[in-house]
Amino acid sequence: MELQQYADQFRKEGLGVAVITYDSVEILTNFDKRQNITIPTLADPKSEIIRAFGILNTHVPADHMAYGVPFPGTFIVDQNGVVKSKYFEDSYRDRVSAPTILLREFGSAAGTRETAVRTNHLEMKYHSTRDTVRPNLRFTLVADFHLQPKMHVYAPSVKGYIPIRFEIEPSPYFTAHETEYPPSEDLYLAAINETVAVFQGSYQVRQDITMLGNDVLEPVLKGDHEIKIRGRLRYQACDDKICYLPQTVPLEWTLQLDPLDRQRVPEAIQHKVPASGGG
Amino acid sequence: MAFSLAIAFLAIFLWMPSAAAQAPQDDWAFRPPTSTGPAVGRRIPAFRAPDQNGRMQDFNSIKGPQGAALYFMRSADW
Repeated sequence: MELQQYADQFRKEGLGVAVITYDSVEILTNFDKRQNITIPTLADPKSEIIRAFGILNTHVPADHMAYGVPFPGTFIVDQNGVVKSKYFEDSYRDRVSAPTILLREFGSAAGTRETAVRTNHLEMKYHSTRDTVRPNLRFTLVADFHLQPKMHVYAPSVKGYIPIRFEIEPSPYFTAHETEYPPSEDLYLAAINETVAVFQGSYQVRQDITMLGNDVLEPVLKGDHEIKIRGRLRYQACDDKICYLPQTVPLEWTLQLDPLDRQRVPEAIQHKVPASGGG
Repeated sequence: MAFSLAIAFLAIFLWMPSAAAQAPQDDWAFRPPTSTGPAVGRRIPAFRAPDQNGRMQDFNSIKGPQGAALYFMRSADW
């Protein structure tokens, strides 16, 4: 369970953590012992909490083993129990990784393998919030920019200029979400008497990636377990006097792909498929 | 008789494409949430349940000084 690894980072931000499932206490005891999970995992075998939250997965047929599961998701709540934000995905298999939530909520950095690039106009350091990923995990590629003094690049919204573009090469193994750029600044350019949307100084660009499912990733899991994400950064930098030639900087992340934990708890305490069957 | 047979064939014909479009896994697995619970700015319901050690927990026992991250997950079994 990924959350165990990041529980201390949530605590450092003043947040307690808990997991809630439709499992019995016996299942959770068994699983948590096997996985060395010490964060509170709460048993809601009748899905009472899940229903009270209004997130019972109503697509599951009532005679199916999975009946009672929630739509998986995460709530960040304040000390009064008021929802500050929440993270839900379209597929019940997909989950937003903890460091992506920590990044969104607190701007905290994670990931260890940082790559630094320097051009004549800017410095860029980029990393992934996860060095190790699993099928169906949503994580974030992060690029921190620092432009030279007086230098600017054009924001994606500009017309008639070459805007900054962070591009990820399509892959059969993952989906790239929309790139998230920070709010731009309006800069008045006296030379051309125009105000344009730009980025200056330091700013961060984020790109979420969701790994596809186990079936699609099988060749990688049977092979070298390596996922390469390639992309490029395109921009044209200008200072207060001139605009420089447009640049394309290649980007690459190498991640390790781990399999999902598919081990079930001992048969006696497993969730049962109803005798009538249910698909 | 022939008419009802025709209806039956028509029914099969109409039913086929949607069945063919289904993935081999359960259909429910691919359907997005119909509800994601309390909206941002709303209060979560009170809850109380035993943890993996059989100890009763509620929001007060879980929360830190700034609140809590509550993860609803599928299952620790499958």
